[in-house]
Amino acid sequence: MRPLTSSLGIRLFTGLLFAPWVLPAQVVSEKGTATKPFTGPPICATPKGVGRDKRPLEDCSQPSATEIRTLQRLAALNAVERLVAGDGESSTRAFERIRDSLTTRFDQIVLGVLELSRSVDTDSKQVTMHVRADISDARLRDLLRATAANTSATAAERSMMGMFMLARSQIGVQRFDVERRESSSTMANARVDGRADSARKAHEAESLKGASVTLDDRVTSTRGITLSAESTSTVARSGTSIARADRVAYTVAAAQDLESAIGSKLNVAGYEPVEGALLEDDGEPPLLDEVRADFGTGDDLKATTLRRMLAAARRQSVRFVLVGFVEGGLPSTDEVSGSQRVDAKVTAKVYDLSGRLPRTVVTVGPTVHFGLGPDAGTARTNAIKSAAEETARAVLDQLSNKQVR
Amino acid sequence: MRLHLTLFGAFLEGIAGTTSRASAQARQDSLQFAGVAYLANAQEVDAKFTVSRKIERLAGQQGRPLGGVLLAAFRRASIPVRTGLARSNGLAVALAFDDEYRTVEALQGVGYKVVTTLSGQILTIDFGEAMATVVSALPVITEYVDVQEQRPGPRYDDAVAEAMLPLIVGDAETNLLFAAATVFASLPAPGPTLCRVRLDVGSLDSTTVWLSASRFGADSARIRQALHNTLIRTWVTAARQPMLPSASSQAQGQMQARFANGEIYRLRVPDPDYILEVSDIRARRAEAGGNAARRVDAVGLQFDASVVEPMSHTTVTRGTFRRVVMDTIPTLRQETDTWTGVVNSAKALTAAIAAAARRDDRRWFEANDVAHTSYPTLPAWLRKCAP
Repeated sequence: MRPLTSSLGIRLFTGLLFAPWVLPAQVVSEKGTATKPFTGPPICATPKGVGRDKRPLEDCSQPSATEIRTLQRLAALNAVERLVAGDGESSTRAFERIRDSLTTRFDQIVLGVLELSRSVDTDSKQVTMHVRADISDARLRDLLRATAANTSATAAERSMMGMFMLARSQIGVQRFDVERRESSSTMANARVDGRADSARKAHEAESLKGASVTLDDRVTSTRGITLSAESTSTVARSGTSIARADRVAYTVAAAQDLESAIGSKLNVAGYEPVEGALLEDDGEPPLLDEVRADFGTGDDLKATTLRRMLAAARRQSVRFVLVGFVEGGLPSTDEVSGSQRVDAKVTAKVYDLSGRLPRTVVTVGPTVHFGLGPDAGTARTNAIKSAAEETARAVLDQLSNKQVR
Repeated sequence: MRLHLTLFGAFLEGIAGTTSRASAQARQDSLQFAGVAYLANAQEVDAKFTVSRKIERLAGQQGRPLGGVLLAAFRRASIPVRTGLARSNGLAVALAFDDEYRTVEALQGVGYKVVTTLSGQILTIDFGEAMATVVSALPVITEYVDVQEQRPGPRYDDAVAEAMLPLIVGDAETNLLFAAATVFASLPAPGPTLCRVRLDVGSLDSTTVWLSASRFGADSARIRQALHNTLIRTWVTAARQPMLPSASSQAQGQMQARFANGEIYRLRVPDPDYILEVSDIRARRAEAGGNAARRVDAVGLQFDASVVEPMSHTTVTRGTFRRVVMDTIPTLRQETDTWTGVVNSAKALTAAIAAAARRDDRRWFEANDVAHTSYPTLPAWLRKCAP
């Protein structure tokens, strides 16, 4: 191919869009709406109208600036509520508790409001507004937790929460092929029917006619043979398929990432987290080893281990015990991104030891989170980090929802 | 091989008036540098971006990796970027290739006009939200126009990559990445209350499809995408209005990108506050003069433009606009350049609307706006959304 240089050209087109790069981190945008009746400027409140003909002012068909500002705040609060509603029931309940205080802290939570549309119904004197609000997510979350948890309590008043956080990772999965067992039986039937028929007919007759005598003697003989044969053969096969569950080998270790992530959030929320290692009861085998052994072989703690764990906490006057397990799967290649992907399954429970018998006040999961990364280690860290954040949020939401302090 | 640049100068001239105003603003913030990415599934990158990947490899072999050149371009354009991407720490910027395609048009008795298009976006990504959210996109589109005696063969990609390399990572002051960085730096830094606008391209009439058949055949999706790129580029340049990445540039509303730190993110594009929709696009073409060497055509374009607020489905503004531009075509390319006339008229009409709205020019609207409904709502909306 010979390029025709006289026609060779390169055209560069560069287009541009906008670049809003001053949005602060942890700011979430959400849309909201509000509808409110309006009266217009204060003068419109006079029912008699103005002027000699007592006609209403033209301005009275539109909301006043004050009413617009009020409506804008209402729509922005609706946006905050929509944002919180996405986090589930416990967050919504928590929002109900902060609704009033949110009004006073409006400027701290809502960083900006953009009015998208406004429609005024002059007949019913109602105005509807749609806005997009930029919301400080971090401040909102803090406010939600602060209203429910005992953050205002002194250190002595705060409840201690023992934490037993363990992580296990799959180090190998032995998969069994489906085993098929078959049996067969054959049934054969054969039948032969035969029939032989034989008939003989004799006939004699005499006839006298004058002086003559005629004798007629006839014998008729018939024979027949009918044969039929039938043979059937039936083969019956039956079998069973036996599928065995994967044999999974785990390695169990303390979930430091999970523990620190949840611990820090508990601390912020007003609890005194205590590491599980500090709640040892000096028994044999050590409590943590026993917990690890249980978790390394199955999904549940043995009853004796659980009782021993709670008893150890009770002896130390620890009111709450948080037991959390995170299980990391084997790394695989994510088909979409091509990166390594690791799943993490998390379960967590919080026991309240204030009564005669321990009671479960929080149950989270099992929930599955996944992490992506250039290698399996990064992917696992991302998965556990994601799992920890969500678990901590769920634990605290449930604690605050139940007003547990 | 002789290369020359066209239109690029005109484009930069178009934004020159705003550069000084924007650069006067003090920037207290800084952006993280996320490098170069591809908006596609990992398995599809090599197959979909053959020329881009070759350019990337060639640039690396010559010691000018795309990421490094882009970083240098940002810094030369006085954009406060810093390296070391930390996901939990605010805004990042990256160049992401999003498309690559080639069209071949037969020239009667001469050969074939081959156009290779590389498309990308400089993305601004907010890691502050729950997931990586694209808050802005600066399209960077490069077309390599070539005339060959025969249809391009399997080795053609190599030749194109070598030819385009100097323009993308070449001379530091003129390469494409620096030009894009300069445009990026010239944009004002909007606040959180700036509108999020998305431009959509709607229906095309059969004549428009026919006019573009020389380039795209009957691929109406590709025609719309090409028109979309043209309209968005022109509108933002003339109106200086922020816009979100187009819906058609993402797969199912989500984009995948691999960044300099090796991580792959699923990018979310937020819902728009307003949708600027250009629809019912009609193009007509008629010979208006010329001579043996060139022909002059009159190309008319008409479309409806509306702005809709999607949450309340409120139509903020609506109008029907039309414009005729003269298109001069060399005899050699008369058979292949019918599409150029459509593009040029689309650019002229879009730029005129945006400029008139920005100037608040009632007379222009009265003379050109068939429906007369978009005035004064369009200028008012523009003032509000892109103050």
